[in-house]
Amino acid sequence: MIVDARQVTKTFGQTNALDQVTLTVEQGTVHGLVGPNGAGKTTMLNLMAGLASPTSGSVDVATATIGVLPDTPLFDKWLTGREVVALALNLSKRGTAESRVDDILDIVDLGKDKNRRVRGYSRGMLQRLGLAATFVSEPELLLLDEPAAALDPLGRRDVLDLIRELRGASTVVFSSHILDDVQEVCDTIGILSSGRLVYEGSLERLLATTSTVASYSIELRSGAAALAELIDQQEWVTSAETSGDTDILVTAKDTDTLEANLIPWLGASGYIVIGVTPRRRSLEDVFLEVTR
Amino acid sequence: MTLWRLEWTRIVRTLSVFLLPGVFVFFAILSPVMARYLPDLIDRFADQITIILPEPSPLEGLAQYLGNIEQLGLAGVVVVAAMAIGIDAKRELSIFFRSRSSVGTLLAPRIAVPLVLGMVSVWLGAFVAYLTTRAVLGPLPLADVAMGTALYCAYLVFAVAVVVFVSSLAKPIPIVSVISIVALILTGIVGLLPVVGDWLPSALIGATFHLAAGGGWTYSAPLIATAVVSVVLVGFGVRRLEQREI
Repeated sequence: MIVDARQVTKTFGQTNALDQVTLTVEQGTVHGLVGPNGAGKTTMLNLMAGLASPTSGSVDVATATIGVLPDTPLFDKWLTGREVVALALNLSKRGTAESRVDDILDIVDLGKDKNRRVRGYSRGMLQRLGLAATFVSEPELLLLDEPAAALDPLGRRDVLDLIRELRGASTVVFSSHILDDVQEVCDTIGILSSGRLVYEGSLERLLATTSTVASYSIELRSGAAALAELIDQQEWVTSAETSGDTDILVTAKDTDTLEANLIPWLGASGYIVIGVTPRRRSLEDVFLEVTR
Repeated sequence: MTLWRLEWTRIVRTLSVFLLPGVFVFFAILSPVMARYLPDLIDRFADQITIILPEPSPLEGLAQYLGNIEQLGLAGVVVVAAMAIGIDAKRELSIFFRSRSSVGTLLAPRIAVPLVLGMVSVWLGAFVAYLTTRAVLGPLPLADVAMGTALYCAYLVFAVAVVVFVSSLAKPIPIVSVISIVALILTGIVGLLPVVGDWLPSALIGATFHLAAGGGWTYSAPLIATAVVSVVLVGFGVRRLEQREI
């Protein structure tokens, strides 16, 4: 375990930014920290980075080589991009070859702009420069605060690929409100809501256990409203909601009942059904459920 | 790119390395020239009235130069130092540096480079002022001017120490600069008090003129006080910065 936070409370004035949070991160994993604005994600990252101290509780980090990327990276605007990354490498004292500076700048697609002053960089370029400055020293623990927030789709894809490549070699903790990103690259996640950790564990377990609601999508050529009305009259159905003239979302009390009844009933109904698909719960569904 | 090279790059690319000495040299040339030709200028523009001014002396030229740099020059040094020392002025920059290095390591070049730049500017200004005064008004005692300049440099150590301490109390660079300048002005005002004033670092400000005018050595006490107070201010400042959360 590389991060072990126990019963952490962090108070700013009268506000509890974090309230009795216990969180662990295993070595070599990618851990997502999600939550609405003001949930305490940045505060948690700052505590892990040693940039702040908990009001009570403890945060133990089992490495001295930590890379921190703030949500809106900023650098001395009179430096060039290459100088920023070279400075980050020098400060890390990791003894990594200087050629790594140019390599990492090429990876984040700043190779052409590396000798330009930071003053002229766009928000996305600053984000990528921040990533380069954080990754260049190959720290054991990477703390990334919304690393893809300011990037275009291509830049976002590069960052996610980069994080995925780091799995095993480094431990990555990253906060994000882009749940697709979290779902794509994280091994484990922690969900923060109003300073409290409402879930910690694997994504699979979260998606499998957070709700017992069972639902199926039915696709028709037409006539969804009439069929939905008929389905809704069945005793094993909780609700049947239409979406346009071709789609119905059927919800039952439990999966077994729904699976035992829905398909035989549809076969006997005489309606031409194009498809019946179990509705997989997205992380967004779960996130909304556990944070409300 | 080391932290020392970073500071060198900062003063070069923000043009401080040219502007700060420039301020001192500007007044070093202007002040003695103004002292020499001000009576002529007044005489030329005042047709109706007759103003009788004493013949300008080399000491007068020196006094004018010192009067100008004590304010603008010192303010320049304070601003340049605040720009470098303010490691927490912007949160994101602060995270970049403080997650990678200790406050002490970060501050050493940030204190030393502006201080050395300030001292070089003071020496350059004093040298140019000496030459200009000699050219237009007459000679000054070189050894006394040099000794006074060295004592003023000791005062700069105190001024930069004040900036370090104020940086631990406030974050924005303009606020740090203004508070530091006000604090230095206040110590100057307190320095006017008898006995107490003899022990304050501000006693060093007037050393150049005092020594050049033939005054005796009275600077042991303020030198010791400057050293002690500067160490204490930097020590407290660094400690407070280390404890400050981002």
